[in-house]
Amino acid sequence: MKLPLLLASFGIVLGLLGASTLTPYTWDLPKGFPQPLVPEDNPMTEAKVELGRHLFYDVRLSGNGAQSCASCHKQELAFSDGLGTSVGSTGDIHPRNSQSLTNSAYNATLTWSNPVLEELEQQILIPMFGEFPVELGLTNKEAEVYARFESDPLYESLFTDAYPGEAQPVTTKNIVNALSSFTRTLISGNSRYDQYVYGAKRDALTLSEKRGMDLFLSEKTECHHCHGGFNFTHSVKHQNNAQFVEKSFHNTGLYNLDGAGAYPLGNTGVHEITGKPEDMGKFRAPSLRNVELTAPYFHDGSAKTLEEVLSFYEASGRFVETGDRAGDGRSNPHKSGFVQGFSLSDQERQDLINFLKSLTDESFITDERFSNPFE
Amino acid sequence: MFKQKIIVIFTLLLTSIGLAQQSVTLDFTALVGDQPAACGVMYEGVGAEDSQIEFQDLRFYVSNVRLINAAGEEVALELDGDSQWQHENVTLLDFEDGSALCAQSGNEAMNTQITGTVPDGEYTGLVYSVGVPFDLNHADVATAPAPLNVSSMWWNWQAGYKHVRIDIMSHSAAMNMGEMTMDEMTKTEGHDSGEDKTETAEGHGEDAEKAEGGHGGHGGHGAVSAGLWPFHLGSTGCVSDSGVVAPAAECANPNVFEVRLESFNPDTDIIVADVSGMLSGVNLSQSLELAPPGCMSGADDPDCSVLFTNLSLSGADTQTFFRSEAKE
Repeated sequence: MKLPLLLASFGIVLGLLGASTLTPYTWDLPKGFPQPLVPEDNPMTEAKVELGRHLFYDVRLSGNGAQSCASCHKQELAFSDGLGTSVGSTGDIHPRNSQSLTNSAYNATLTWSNPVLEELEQQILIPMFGEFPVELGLTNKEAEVYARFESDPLYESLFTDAYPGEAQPVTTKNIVNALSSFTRTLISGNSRYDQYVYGAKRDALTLSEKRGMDLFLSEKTECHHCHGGFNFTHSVKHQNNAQFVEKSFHNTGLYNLDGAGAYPLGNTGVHEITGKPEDMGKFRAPSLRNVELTAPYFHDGSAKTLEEVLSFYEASGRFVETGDRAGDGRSNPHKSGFVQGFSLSDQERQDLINFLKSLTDESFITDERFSNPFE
Repeated sequence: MFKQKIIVIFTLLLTSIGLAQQSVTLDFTALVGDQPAACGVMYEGVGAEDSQIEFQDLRFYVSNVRLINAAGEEVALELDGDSQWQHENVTLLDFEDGSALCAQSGNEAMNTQITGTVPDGEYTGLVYSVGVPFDLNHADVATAPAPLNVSSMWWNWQAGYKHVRIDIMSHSAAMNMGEMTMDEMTKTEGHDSGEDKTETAEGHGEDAEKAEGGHGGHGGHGAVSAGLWPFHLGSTGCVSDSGVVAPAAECANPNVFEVRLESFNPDTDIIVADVSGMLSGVNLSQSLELAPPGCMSGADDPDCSVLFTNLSLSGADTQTFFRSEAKE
């Protein structure tokens, strides 16, 4: 009777000791930013973030050792990759454009068009284990890959710090939780726009950028209907709006292969998940923060420049005359009613683009805390 | 502020001398004529052109609620404490459930009630404002308390919130018949299957031309999508350095309107927000010829003029949106 009791209290003391070594992560949020939501079963700790940062940049976290998360999410490109569509570790071509990880802690849903994918902890499994296409290519290679970390003294201490008291801390769950924790810290809110708005620094924006900002917020362009709010997307969730999360997805009229609204096979958006005809071509409105760095644009990287994106919205969709993507996206029956086209002068177009570029956050792409720890 | 303080002091006095409070629940319902207004339903014969409409959004803020006592005095309803739907003297009424077209900007949560307390007494009427009052209207949606934290109900610091957001997909039979082929006409008439619901607004001659104008003219129907007719009521003429700066003084056109229901008993009556009444005489087929679509509260937007009269925003008490009815 006494021994189990003693053991139990010893266990409790150990547990308390363990807990006390886990320093909670301190958010250093930009002014005006709400608190991100963090899943209860994966609280943010400094140790998990540090482990996650190492794993994020480590090519050993791919089946063949060729790629890391950072291969498609490069800090200098605001954690996107600059390609039209990404290429996985074994050469598979992904149908989608690599998304910027800027402020993904606030995304109401993750990836381009999955309305039920709500947590980074679920999303990260896709690049790790996805087979169609292969990204990191870990499926059936878990033991081999995890052994690489188990035999490395650096990771032995990183894992022990993050998951104290666990005999075998190198597990899928612990890796995913650490990567999620690190990804949540990638918060950008120090662009010149932020200095103007939240820092009340009235000379932070040029006259042209201010004119562009007013155009962006106007009913003429309707940009703000989908890209509004502090994160320049309505698809946000945080501690202050948990009751009213919008999971908004929009068909913007990129394609119309059959006159009935069809998008190219394999890239049909929310429709791919729900099978509902009205979800054809619906994709999540991404944040426009750091948009200058995340070219090319759209879910399939089919617009090379911001100028091209703007012309697309001016024309209220895309008309493709010939080829396998021929069709008039402008009359796509599932298109959002807010994509109705507008006409800009050359000066206005330049102003709008200048404004979008004022959302670039230099401190974010040079922040040591987000950088490659192996360099 | 001053007025609020007086109310607070008055309430404290009342409670300290032991005057009892009574709870009041105001029930709202949204209708189109006599049918409940909801996402995913098609309604016939709305507006000047007897359009077929479907909701894409249906929400509005109500503030400054007062009950009228037998002496004709207005007594402020003290709203029940902060909740998902109520903050200070503002309540969000939300009749969209995020289904069908409402998925574009909506969510599941709905609210059809205002709850609060007044001193015990006989009350025979009700008066309230539709819209967010100035002192709360120019907050930051990212950090404001619920229900002022709904991003799709907010423009920016300068303009503030959308007091009313009623987005309508309009299917007007009178629309550009001349431009439509027989095939297209048949399509627009068959609204029964879900798939065809938004498939009307092809071939708006004038608009297509206008849009083609500046862009080197590709062929086809041109730029017009289905007939979205959004109504976003908000303050205009708000003066500040730019869109991202809150104004220091009330906007030239607050566009908050008052509704007075002279005969109203919270126990036996319900407040009806009748969208077909609000849209009475409003041409839901013309907006696509005018940018922006629908009525975005622009002082000189022709799409807004009849609507503003229907909401008592043209001066006189002419609103046709709200009425009271006996509960069933």
